Amino acid sequence: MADNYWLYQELRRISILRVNRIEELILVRNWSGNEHKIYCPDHSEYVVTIDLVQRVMEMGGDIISFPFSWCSCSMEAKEFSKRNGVLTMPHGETFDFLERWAARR
Amino acid sequence: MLTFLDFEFYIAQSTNHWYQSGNWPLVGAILVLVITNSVSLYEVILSSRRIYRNDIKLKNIELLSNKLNSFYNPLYSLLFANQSLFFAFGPRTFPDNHIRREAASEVWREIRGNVILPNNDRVLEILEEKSHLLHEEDGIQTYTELINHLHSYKVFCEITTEVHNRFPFPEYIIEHISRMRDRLLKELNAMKVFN
Repeated sequence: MADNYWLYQELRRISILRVNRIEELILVRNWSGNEHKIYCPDHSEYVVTIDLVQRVMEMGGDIISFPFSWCSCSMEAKEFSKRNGVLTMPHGETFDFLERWAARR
Repeated sequence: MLTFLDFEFYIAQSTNHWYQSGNWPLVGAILVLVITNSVSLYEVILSSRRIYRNDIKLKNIELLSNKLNSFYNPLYSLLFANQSLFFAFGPRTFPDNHIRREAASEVWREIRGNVILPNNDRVLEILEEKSHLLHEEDGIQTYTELINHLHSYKVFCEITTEVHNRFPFPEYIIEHISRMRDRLLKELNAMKVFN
């Protein structure tokens, strides 16, 4: 189960993004209409694994953003997500990435 | 005519028993010596045997105490403490609330670094250096899964990898150590009673 309330609230503060929630994913759109679907693991998913990446891919997500304080990403999951076009990164990097991405019109 | 000396000799000869004449007195003296000496020798052998047996019993008690104090007791307490800490503070207990979860993860990281990993190191040290203290019916093979798990967890804390999933904590191990501990305690108590 995703636990994306905090991330959703934080992303809504970035004015150059349009943010919605679709079931377990957060949908972000920039003004050009491009979009990303973000999954945020819950506390039982304290390690991002290949299985989780696969599940997110099945849901249609392309970013997995996790809190660095209590969650980490396995080396295998990093490699797997990279090969399958899914970005896996801590929240801090997600914000940086989305801000840069949204600024590109 | 009989002199006084002859009379004395006559009296002496007529009252002598068989054992008072010939070699018998010598034989009797030798027999007395042999019997008294063999009795005291037997006593010495018996008491030395008793001392030896007591020594062995004491050594066995010492060995059993050593097995308990240097192997099973510390292993049990260290593993039990780690398991309790994991169930009380581990990632599965992190609360849903975001702020509380951050704090819980911070506490967990501290406990992991300051208590759990050092305890694991001590467990490995005991298993590597004191396996000669294993009970006769226990084997180091029983601890292989635990050793692998502890090594793997140490790596996992530095490098997050799914390989660690192949080395889960053997749930049976605490129960096993507790059983061996109880057994040793019973053996020890039995020895103390009969000593």
